[in-house]
Amino acid sequence: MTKYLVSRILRGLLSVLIVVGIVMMMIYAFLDRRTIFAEDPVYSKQKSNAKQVYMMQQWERYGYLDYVPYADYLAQLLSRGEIDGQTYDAAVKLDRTPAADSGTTKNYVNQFAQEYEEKGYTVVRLKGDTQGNSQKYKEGGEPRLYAHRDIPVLTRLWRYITGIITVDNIHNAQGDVGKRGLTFTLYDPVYGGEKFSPAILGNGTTHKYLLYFDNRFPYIHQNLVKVNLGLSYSVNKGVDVAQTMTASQGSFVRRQVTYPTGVVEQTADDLHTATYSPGSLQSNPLKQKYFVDDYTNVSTAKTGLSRLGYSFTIGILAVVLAYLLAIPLGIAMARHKDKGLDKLGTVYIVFITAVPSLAYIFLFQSIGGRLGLPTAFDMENPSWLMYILPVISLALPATANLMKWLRRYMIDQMNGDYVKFARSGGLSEGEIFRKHVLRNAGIPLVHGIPASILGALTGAIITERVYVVPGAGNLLTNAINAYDNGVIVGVTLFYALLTVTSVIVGDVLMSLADPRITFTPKGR
Amino acid sequence: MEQKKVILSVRDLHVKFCVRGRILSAIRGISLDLYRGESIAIVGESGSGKSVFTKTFAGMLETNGYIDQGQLLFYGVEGTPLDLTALRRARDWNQIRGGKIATVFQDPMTSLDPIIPIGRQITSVILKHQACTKAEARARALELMAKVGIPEPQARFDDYPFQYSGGMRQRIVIAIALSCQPQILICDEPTTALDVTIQAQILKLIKDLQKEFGYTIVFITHDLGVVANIADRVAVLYAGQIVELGTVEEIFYDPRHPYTWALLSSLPQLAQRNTKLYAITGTPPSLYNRIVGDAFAPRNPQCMQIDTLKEPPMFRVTDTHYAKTWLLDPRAPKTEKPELIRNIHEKLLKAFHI
Repeated sequence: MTKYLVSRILRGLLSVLIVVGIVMMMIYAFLDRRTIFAEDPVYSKQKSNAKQVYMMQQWERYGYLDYVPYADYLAQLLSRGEIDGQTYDAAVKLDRTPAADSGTTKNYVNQFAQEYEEKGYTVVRLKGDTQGNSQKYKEGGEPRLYAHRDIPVLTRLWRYITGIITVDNIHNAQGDVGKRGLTFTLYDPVYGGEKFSPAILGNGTTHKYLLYFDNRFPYIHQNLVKVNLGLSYSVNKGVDVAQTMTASQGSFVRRQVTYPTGVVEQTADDLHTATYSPGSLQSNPLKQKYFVDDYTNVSTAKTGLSRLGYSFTIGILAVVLAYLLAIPLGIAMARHKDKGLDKLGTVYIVFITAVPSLAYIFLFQSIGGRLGLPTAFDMENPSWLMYILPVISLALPATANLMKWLRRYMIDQMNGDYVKFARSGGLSEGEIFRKHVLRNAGIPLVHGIPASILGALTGAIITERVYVVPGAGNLLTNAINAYDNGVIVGVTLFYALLTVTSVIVGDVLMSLADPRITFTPKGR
Repeated sequence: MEQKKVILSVRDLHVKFCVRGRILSAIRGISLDLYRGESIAIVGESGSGKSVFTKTFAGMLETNGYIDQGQLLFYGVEGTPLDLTALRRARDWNQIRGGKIATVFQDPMTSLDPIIPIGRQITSVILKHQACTKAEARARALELMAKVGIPEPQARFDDYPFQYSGGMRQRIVIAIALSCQPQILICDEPTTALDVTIQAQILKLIKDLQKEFGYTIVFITHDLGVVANIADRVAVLYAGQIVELGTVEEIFYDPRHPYTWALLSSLPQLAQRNTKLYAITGTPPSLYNRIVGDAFAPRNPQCMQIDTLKEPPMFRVTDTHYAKTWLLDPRAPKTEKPELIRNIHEKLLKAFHI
């Protein structure tokens, strides 16, 4: 059993890897990489040579290529002590054309070009872009020199996979942070140091708080292990997909917080999220009032759930409702096959199957609106009522589907020989149903349960859009629209993992329900 | 057949089916008495109504079938005979099925619930019909499993059907059918799905247990070899009617109906080397239409004019032997049974090199 499961999980992970690899291959190798700027306002403001450089910088940031500007190269030489400050100042000045460069500059430019061309880089010199015949450069028209080298997709894939899970450690913070190490406290300083609330704090780590408790579900939180699914370019710029999906939304929530300096204030700052930001304390006098070290980068606490949170809440309620409705209805339809109830149920199933989902979601919305239910999601004034319509809209089609299959499985079983034999043995119809038919018909349904529960995490595009739910359902479509490749890959990975997991869990459940299925090799 | 007590008396039974708005007459007036402790075989080709006939005893007709007329008098209960055709409610049938009349079906592979342990399937029927505790039911089930020839029943009690072979499963099916000491055991081709060696074992088991339990066997088959093995009496069914009824010796050695002749002639064991196997020509009549005359007439090589005009009555040959053919009418020309099935005993002995 264990051996089989381990091999199933490994094979599942391999297939996830293949899927992500294919997606990365498609969007990084076959798609024009300029498309990522489609929704970027900064890009359209950049002009002339600066635009080229901006593109290079962004491509480097999003993993397309390695980019080395000439100035960085010189700075590197300077820091290694190979040149002095004077030479640096002389060498870094580029003239409008290579021919016009000073001797020192020419010298180092050649050295730069030679060194990086040997490494396989392409060296690019952009001539100064002047206004008309004058010597003045246009905006962003300064001459540029840089080297760049594409990163092969397989390397990207490898970097991506190995970077998915990162563990914080005390050597992460750059610069002088004092004594590096972890401390454990029973009294979290955020709560004033008197309330019992254990926490693990780090110095030298990226996050200050590695483990802590608060009053938000699931009450115990950690920052030690982080999941990185890929940086977003335009959907939520510069933020990781995992963060985008799990960060809380809505309006700020103010609570009483004790800052490291001892200042107590009503604030939305969530000190538990503090991350290291080198030099931030020195450069920002405002922060010196609150903080004593460079862990000043905090995010804010908000009232609402995360995107994933909203999607999952609605999804899981819909799944529960669907099963609660579909199981008794499906059974009733099968037991009274071809009678009134069965025909009514069939009409409903046909309606849901035939009518496009958009149409009946709007139908439910308008019916619900007439009944006075909220038809739009409002994070500022949350109430349970606003969940009703989205949940119903999601549950009703799922119910139809489940009813259809349950009815079908039950009728198949009812025609089984063992049912006839049980009847000939004098069992009543009720007993036959309870003891035999229901259990047998349940087996294929059991397999689908994990998929529907985990599927709730992916969100529902149309329902969420109609009811303005800030959920995760539209993340992928938004990302595709905006050419946000990082998000596309990240969400693909997430969906693929969900699918693989639900199939494996479904198989395990089925083996528990059906004695004929075992994970051990044949032979008793 | 002296002084046998009747257990079930079928009186002029007509069964009809409503199929897509048309009426199909599956059983067209069958009268038959079943005696306590006997084994009667019901033979006939596919579609002759063998299964439908026995399903009426157990109230297991498909939902579109109904008993049009006739009576099924069951003498297995205290007091006055019970007319099974009058049972309407499922609850009444549940008293008869399993407890009084049990059925063994053709395919042991599918007759058991695949996901319930064998032992529980037996005890659930025992608990249903007999007032006893779970422990008693278990003991009784183990005893039955041993009786039907399951080695180490204790160890196999909690096994699932898929862990049993086909023959073993049929033994379990028989154990379940016998668990409540039924008075009639309907065996609907119980050996068809088994291989030949297992067939013989199962037949022997059914016969042996009959001595102990004293039930009446109604054996449906189209295998005449099985009939010779197990039956005391044979009823030959054709197009929803009994065309010939007699003891097994009478049917094999002195058949009177041309259809019985044809059936016997089709025994592959009788075929000579280098000759074609005998096959009955034509197809059975459509039961949607009203049948005029003898139903077998169109396929009967000895057909007479009267066969096509008027349905023959049951002619008595002996006290136990009846046949429904005009050939037995005193006015009919004397017709001998075909050469192929004369001296059938010697021929069969020769065929099997006994």
